[in-house]
Amino acid sequence: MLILQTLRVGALHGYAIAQHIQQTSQEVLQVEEGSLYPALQRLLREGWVTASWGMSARNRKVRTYRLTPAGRKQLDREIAGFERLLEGIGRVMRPAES
Amino acid sequence: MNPVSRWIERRRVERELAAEMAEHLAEKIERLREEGYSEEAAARLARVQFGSVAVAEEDSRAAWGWNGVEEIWQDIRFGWRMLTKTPGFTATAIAVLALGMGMNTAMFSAVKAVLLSALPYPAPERMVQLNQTAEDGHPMNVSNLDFRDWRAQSRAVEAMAAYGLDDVTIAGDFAARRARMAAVGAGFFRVMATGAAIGRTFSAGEEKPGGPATLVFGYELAEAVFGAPGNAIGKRVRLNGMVFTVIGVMPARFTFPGNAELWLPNDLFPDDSTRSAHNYRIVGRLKAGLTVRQAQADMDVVAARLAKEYVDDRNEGIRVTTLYDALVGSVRPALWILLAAVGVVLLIACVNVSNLLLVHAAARRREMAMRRALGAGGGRLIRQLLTESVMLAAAGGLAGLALAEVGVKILRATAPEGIPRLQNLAIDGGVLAFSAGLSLVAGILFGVLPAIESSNADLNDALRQGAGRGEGRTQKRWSEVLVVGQVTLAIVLLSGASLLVKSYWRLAHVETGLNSGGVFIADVTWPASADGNSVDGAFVRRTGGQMLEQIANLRGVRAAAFVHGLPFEGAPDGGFEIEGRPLPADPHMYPDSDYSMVTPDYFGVFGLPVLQGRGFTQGDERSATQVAVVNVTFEKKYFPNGDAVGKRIRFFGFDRKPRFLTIVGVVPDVRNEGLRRPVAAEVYADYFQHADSAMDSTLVVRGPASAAARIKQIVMFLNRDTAVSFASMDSLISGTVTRERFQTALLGLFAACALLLAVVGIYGLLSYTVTRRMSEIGVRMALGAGRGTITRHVLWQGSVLVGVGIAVGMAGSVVVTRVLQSLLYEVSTTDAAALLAAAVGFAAAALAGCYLPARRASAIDPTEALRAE
Repeated sequence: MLILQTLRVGALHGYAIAQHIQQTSQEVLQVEEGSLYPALQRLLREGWVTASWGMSARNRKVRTYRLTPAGRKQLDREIAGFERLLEGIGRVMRPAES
Repeated sequence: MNPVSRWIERRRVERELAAEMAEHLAEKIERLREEGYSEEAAARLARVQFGSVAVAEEDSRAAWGWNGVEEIWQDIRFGWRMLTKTPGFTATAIAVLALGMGMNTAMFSAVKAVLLSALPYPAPERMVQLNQTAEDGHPMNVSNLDFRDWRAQSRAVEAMAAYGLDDVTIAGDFAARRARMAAVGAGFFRVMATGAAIGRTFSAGEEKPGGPATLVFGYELAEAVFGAPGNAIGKRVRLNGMVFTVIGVMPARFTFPGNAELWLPNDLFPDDSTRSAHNYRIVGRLKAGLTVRQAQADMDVVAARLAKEYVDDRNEGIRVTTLYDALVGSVRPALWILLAAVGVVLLIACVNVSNLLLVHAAARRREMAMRRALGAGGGRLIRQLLTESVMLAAAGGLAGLALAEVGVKILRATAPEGIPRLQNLAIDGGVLAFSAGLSLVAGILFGVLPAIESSNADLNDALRQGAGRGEGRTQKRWSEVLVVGQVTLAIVLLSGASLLVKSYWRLAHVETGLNSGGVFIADVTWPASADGNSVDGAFVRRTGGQMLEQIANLRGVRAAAFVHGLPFEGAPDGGFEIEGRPLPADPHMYPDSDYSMVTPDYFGVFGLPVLQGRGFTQGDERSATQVAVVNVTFEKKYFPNGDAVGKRIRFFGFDRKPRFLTIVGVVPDVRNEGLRRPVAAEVYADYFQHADSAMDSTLVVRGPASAAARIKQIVMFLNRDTAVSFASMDSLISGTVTRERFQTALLGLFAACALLLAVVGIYGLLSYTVTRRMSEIGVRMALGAGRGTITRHVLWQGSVLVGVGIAVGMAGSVVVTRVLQSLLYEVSTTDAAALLAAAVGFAAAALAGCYLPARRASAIDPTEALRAE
């Protein structure tokens, strides 16, 4: 979901995705960068992202990933599910407000 | 997608992934450098943050679902490296497995040939054997008169044919030879649903009394006699002096019934004398769709009807069995038991290898711990180790196949004739599949425990303990449990073998009553009488007398005689009446006795003294009084006062016109019905007085084997259609127990292998322990423990394991050996002496296995042991 969300703003390559997730989560989400790639392979396989080789801003030959329409729908579904979950957790944690 | 393009696609993805990750790392390093890290520090930090490239690659492959094949292949390559790295261990394991698998494969191929293959006739499930049963349920052959009624009245059996089996001599434009002949009734080949391969089988006209004399040859016999099977057609063959024309040759390997080599129409000379002449066996074919049970019900009705109608059939029933059961039923239990036994040997072999692997695993604890630390999952490690053990098993299986090939040859060469279908024994596709499956199962069986055990290796523990020193407590415990299990299994097998050996010993040492050493025998056939139903008596009296005279005059020959109804060859028997005593109304209640016909010197040949009265003399032949000599059992049974001599008895169905025989003498008992059965009452009649009944006779000679060639000349000169081949009487007697000998030898062999493997197992465990504890033993010795103490300590350790194993094994034996019941002769399945012998024998062997490591332990030099630390 995080990867898909990251790609919503535009096509990015692997390193950039990892950086983005780390920075925007303000280093809360520290994962091994390597584990990004199996996840990307899964997304490729599901057809939620496509990949193409190109040059990065730093003039490196990189593979950039782009969200497909199916990926966009999947992301919406996942966000909806996640928000419901958060809402539920929220109600449990702060029962007085409800 | 086809495999090739899938593979190409996959290579592409992997290449791209690798390039991508390399770029990632390079970019990262670049950034870190920009942040001011040194080249080295940047590279390190980048790798740490990225994590394991290998794991990422593997997980990516998993994302595509490629892992299965890939990992197996990887495991195999890795396994190969590990196995070739430790050739000693690998060779030992493969040898042990090959032994177990080879024996199993060979034994299974025997079971398959005999028990599992369908009968080679069309619709074999519809083929049945029909027997008459006596009041006590004992199956009997069937008289021709009864058979005809069965055939006419049965509604479930579509076709039925009677047959008899006989050994005959055939002669013609070739050397006379013995052959096994089946006299088959009308429709026999229709029941078998098998026709001639060349020529034809009998026509309706040839299956009638007085029809043209025709023969059908077996393929193999035709080939042996005429060079090519095709040459047989139209040839004239003399059989017991009558001339027959060969009209057909059966397909190769058609040998029903009972290894028959030629077939003759039975109805040429029908024996329609009485309903108590149980001369024929019956084979039938059920109507399509009917079961044996339905046929049985149908024949029960027929039996009841006949029992009411004929006094001879009273209390007699009919039993329908599938032909398959009739053929293999008697060997089935023994074969399954042997297969189970050989399975136990494999199990012991597996335990051995399992133990080897446990030891081996201890040496690999560091490797395993390291691999876990590097991110390999427990399941992944178990799979890796199981792959290795399955590879071992496969190698063992392959080596075992070579062994099985040899085993099959030995089985074929040594198998007794009595086991049906064993000649088809071969390692075929089914056997190969069995062997492959067995390898897989065995590999998992012996691999799973060590795999689980060593994949549990704890990183810290293993690394801390230092190279090669980590011996887990649990691993040792498991090794011990395995050894005890091994001993238990071996003891059960040994007990079984011990029982069989004792039983066989008893059987082989049964007192036969015959002084058979130095007696040799040859079957003799006489020309048939004109009606084909008996022997040309005049010829026998003239020529037989001449033969005996000439043979007796040979140098070294002490005595020679003819006998019809040689002991151990199934003596004829029949009912008789005693003069002056009323006959019971029921024919089943008539007095009955075995009978045989012998020439005067017969008792001399076998060293049988005449106890009362006299034996036969030359004069009896020409005397008008028919004489008989009886055995002790006969006298005890019918003349308990010991006054048999002088009494007269008359057999029914003995001669054409039964006459009273006067008992002139009594001789000792002989095991006339074989080693397994008690002595039966027996009447000896004078051979020459009944020469026309003595179709199948045996020449018995006490003399040197060197006389055989001369005797052969004499016999064949006087009777040109006789083929003479000599055997010793002792080999005939021991030949009646070949099946028992075969079973005993096989089980003995298996038990010996089990013993060997189990002892090797104990030896292996103890020597490993000694090596492990080298330094400990060194310390003990440095502290003053004597060598004797050390030896005793190690011996004690082994003895406890062996003792527990033997105790459990003996308890198990008492239960398990019950399955041997049907194979044992006068030995109980809980025979204490036999079971004890097994235990003591094993204990002795095991002690030897313990002693070697114990000695080694006591020979340790403490200074060296401690320095080696």
